[in-house]
Amino acid sequence: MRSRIPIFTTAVVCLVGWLPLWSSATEADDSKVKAHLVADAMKIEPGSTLRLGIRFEVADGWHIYWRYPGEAGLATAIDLRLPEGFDVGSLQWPTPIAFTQSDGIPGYGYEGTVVLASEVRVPEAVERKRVVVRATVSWLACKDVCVLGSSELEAPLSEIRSDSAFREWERSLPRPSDADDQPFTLSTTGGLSDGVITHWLRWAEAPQRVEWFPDPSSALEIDTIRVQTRGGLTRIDADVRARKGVEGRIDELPSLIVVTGEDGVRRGWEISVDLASNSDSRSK
Amino acid sequence: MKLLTRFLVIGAVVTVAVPAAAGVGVGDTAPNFTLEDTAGNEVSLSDYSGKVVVLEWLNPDCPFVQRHYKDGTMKKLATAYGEKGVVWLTVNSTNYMDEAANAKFKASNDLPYTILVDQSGEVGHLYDAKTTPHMYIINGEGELVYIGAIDDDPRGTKGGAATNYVAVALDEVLAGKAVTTAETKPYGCSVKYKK
Repeated sequence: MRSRIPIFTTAVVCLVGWLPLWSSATEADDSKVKAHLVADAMKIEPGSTLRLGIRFEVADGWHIYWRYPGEAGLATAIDLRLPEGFDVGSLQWPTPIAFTQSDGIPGYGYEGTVVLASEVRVPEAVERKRVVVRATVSWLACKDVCVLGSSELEAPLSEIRSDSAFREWERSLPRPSDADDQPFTLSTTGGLSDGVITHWLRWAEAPQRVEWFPDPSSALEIDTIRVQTRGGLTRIDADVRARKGVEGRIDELPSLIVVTGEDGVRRGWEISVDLASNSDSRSK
Repeated sequence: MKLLTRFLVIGAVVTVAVPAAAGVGVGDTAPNFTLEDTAGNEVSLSDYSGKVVVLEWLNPDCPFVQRHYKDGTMKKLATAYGEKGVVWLTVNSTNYMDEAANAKFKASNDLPYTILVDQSGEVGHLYDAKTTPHMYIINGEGELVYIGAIDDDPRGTKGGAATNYVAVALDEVLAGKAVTTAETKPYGCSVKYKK
């Protein structure tokens, strides 16, 4: 049994509850989260690519959630709809932060301002003035209590403001697993049959701080994460277990390695490890 | 092994650990507990030995819980399966909700089942309840046969197309079958445990 300090807590709870916001506008505001439709280009050219998404402004002390929210919470969701012929790519998620939700329950998400966006391919034939963007957005914002929010946003693409946040946005995205600038080499031991998966990261230069963000399917339960860095080697252990009767991938575990460099900047790398093998050291 | 050896001899820089929880798993014997209900009566899980029992973790301030109570999800299930002998026990491990607060919620929602007050969080930790709601089903032999979400609709957008995992599992238990989907990832707010 874990020890706890018996502190009596008086909580004043402002009950806001479910706050659906239905608006034909580029932005919505539920007092905890403001959501704006944003793009990285004002003009659309036939055959070009632009980034289109939602900028969330989260009130101080509150957070919203990453695609894997942790052991509680709810992933932020965006359904972006454009006219036929536009090709909307998958949602791109900047590197999240980790927080403790309640007595050790881990959570992953965002505080402050974050842009979640997709790459959109413009068709060769397009009537520029008639392009209307529609988005259904929903989020869970939490501090001491949680508030569900949602909004329907709609606007002509020509009226969606070009957001300066996109200048820094690219750098906030985790690098793909095949990136040639990955600063570590990865090997793993353990696996599903062992009940524990261990990631070993060997660094050319010892990092200031290493964080690990699992991104399992709902068929996997990840628990008891331990991250230890000693010199040029980081060891990440996590208990891993398949949920009984749940459909979903249990043979691989995607995750993010997030490194804080000497400049204080956090950078993320996507990795994925094989859970089917066990106890062998596997290098990538 | 070479990796491990080298790891042990290099000086420590940073250690970040998320503590392990106690918890229970499907197939385990449900651990007994005793809590007071909203009238101050002691209620033990062992009082319902031989019966199928549903444990529901509650926090009336959580919007996921509010939606299910507005829709009557728990009340309808508790009533329907109560007629088949299933016992429904709701546990509130929210640190700031005392007997009076739970009694008020029970009365305002006209609930046909007991709310057990767990302000210390002891029983919540015993079962490793993480979210509200978080659901557990115990069969007549006292074995945990389902742990997880109430349904597959965390955003509440599926309407009649949602699958209620608890109803499906209870049907299987009452029919003497093994539970097909015995575990799911629970969704909701984190349990607001005492710090």
